[in-house]
Amino acid sequence: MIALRLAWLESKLLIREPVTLVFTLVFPVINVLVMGGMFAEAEEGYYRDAVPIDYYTGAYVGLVIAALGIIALPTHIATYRERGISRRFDASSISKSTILTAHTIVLLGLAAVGAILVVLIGVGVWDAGMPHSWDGVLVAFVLGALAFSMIGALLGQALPSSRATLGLGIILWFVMLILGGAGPPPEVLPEAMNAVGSFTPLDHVVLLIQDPWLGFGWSWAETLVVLGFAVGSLGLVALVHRIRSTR
Amino acid sequence: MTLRLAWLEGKLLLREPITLVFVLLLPLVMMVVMCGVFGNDVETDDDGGVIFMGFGATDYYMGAYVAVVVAALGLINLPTHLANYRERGVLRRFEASSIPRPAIVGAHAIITLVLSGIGAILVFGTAKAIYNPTNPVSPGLLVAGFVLAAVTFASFGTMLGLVMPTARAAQGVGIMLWFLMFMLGGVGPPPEVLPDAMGAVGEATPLLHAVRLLQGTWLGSGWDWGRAGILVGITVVSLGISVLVQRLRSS
Repeated sequence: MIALRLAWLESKLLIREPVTLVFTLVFPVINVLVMGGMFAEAEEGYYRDAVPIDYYTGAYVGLVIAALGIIALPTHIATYRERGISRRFDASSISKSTILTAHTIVLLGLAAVGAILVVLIGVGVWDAGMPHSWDGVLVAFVLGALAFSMIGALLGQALPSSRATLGLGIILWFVMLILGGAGPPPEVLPEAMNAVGSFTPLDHVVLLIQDPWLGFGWSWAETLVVLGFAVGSLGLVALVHRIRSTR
Repeated sequence: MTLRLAWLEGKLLLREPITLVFVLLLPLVMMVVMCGVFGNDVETDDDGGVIFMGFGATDYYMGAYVAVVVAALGLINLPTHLANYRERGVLRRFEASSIPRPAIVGAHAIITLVLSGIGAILVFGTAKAIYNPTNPVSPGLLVAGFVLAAVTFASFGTMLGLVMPTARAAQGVGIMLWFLMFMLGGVGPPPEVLPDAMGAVGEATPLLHAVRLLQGTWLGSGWDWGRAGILVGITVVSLGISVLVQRLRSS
């Protein structure tokens, strides 16, 4: 209950942040508009052999999640630490897990808004194909949001200041955008860059969402990788908390 | 005075992670990826149309990414910095200690030139090391174009910093404009393959004109008076609006 009320408050705060708005709701939409206009027809050997706009619509749903988890959430958390708000939460005995839950709910909610916007533009303007399997896409979306919530919590807790978090978040976001499957088709990237791309969580979230979208079934391997990112980040968050509280 | 102020301001700007990211890091990363993807052979699109103005992509992108560095400083860092100064009353204190306004403007002009110079050298140096693009055909004109572009974006950024209500708003709007110009201003995908409507929006962005001016001097088609005129026009209008806003605020 507290988590829900907290989530509502937090989402109002986050949405007032211009940088969040820009990266979550504006950039993915610009991307859909530009990329959908440039690449109209399917070509064998590119875009996983799918129609480019179908490929990109799924990818940009992933990009919305990434913007929230890499830029918005960590900066928000780091600001809370800087201003002593986290300490006050502690003092009023709101548990860390409640806050983490609230942030996950916020991320899911805002990501849903961004994703709906992306899909509406993709379908409305460029006639993008709807998902083959809605269930699969929804589950992939939730898993991706979960993983990026944990990554966001980790970045927000581990980095020294909100400005550093914002700077690092933006550079990570751009690197993921171009190497993680949401920029140029991965087939044209030089091998070394694809290798870097496959280390980014976005790459795997994009694949996880695209597979059921494009009718490739469900990828258990990608499921494992995305869950791995979630669990690994959660473990590190706990570790950072412990180190912080012993000091 | 101006120089000392410039030195101080430069140190302040460099401590700002966003500056480092957008001016020094991001253009570099993007350049490395785009040149890696497109190579440097002269190619056509699927229908045989000219792309990259008939040059190899790597050569095409050199002038383009130098312009991106300048645009990032003018669109993101300068407005945020300026709005921040206004919010915190630093500008008022400058005035109270009777530091002349030209000294402040001059200091920022120097910073913009020096920082974007560093960013530009970083881009070309890295490209030279990895992809071996062609050297600029007319270095003198290139420098002139670079200075003109820097002045244009500095004026545009000053206007943005004065018009925007808060530093956060300035930063948000600046980043958005930068990204929009990045996608449509001839720096991301080859502009020839953009749909017409987007190409038209691209033509309306200052970045595209700066990019074309620098490319002309880099690739050997010489100084483009038309583009240069547009940049001067943007500068004059931006400065005019800045003065107007400043006057409205102080009355």
